[in-house]
Amino acid sequence: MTENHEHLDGNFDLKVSDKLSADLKGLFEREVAIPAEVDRAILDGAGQRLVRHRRRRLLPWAIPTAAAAVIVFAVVLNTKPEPAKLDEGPSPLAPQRKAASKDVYSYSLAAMVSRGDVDLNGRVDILDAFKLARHIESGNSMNWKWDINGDGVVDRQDVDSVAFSAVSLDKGVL
Amino acid sequence: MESDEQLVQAANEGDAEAFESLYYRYRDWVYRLAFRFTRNREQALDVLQETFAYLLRKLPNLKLTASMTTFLYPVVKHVSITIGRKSRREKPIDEGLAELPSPAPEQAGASRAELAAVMGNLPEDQREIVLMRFVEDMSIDEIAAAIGIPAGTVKSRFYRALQTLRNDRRTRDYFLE
Repeated sequence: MTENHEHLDGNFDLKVSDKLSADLKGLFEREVAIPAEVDRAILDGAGQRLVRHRRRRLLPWAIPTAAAAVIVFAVVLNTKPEPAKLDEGPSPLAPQRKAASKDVYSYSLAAMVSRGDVDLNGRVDILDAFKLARHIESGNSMNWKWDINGDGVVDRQDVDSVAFSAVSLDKGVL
Repeated sequence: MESDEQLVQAANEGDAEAFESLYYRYRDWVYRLAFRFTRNREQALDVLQETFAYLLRKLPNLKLTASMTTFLYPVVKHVSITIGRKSRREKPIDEGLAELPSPAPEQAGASRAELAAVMGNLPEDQREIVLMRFVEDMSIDEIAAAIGIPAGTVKSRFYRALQTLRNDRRTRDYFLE
């Protein structure tokens, strides 16, 4: 509180001493004696109500979040390579399968399929070799996945590698 | 210390401790104001409970666009009037006497008793503004927002009240010029 209130009352020519405020406060401000039961009643009621608010706030989020989690989980399950398909037919890698765990093996095969599978049909066969050869001849941009032998360039040698994979495996399926 | 806005935001999100902080920050203010309107301790406690129940009902969508006292003032006033009316229907009292405190001379001193008498003669709308300004320390704009009238109207009522106080020999000494 300032010494007078003229700053609030710029248009007024009345200057009031602080004593007026002090005396009015003395008259109208009484000792506050609020029973603890009143505090408890108000705050307990508030606490219960706020807990309900909180639940209501979380509920609209909980259902979509749970649904989204289920969808993501389902998608992950569906996108995981199926070991049964990859195990079809005899393979030169068969002895390794016994040594390696099933999952690790499945993923390494999947990577190989992905590398030579130029037409993205899920199989590596002689058609992939033809397609890769056409790509190389046409001079189109190359996909790093077609670097089958891993020498840093995509060329005829990769075509040979794909062709070799296709004929060395049963029906070209890894 | 968290601001009122921060506490309101937290209370909107269901934070009971934030509400408790707001309660203890404004509890005494609400009670004093309610007591001034009702002149009755029990009724003031009822007003206190009703006021915070109202605040609670505003959650979780409460937005403070002014100070908390500006927000709470009309609530306390309205609830006090409602509870006072209900009480008067049940137990009539002298409204005039209920408006103002009865200062005990041995405690308040003669000047306060005279001030109370002059204040008692002010029209209610002027007296309310004087008390909001000098007891609650509210600005003209806050008073205007709390009562819901233009700031110019507040100023003119305030000015007329001060003129009355200055023109009365019992309260003339409160003025510097």
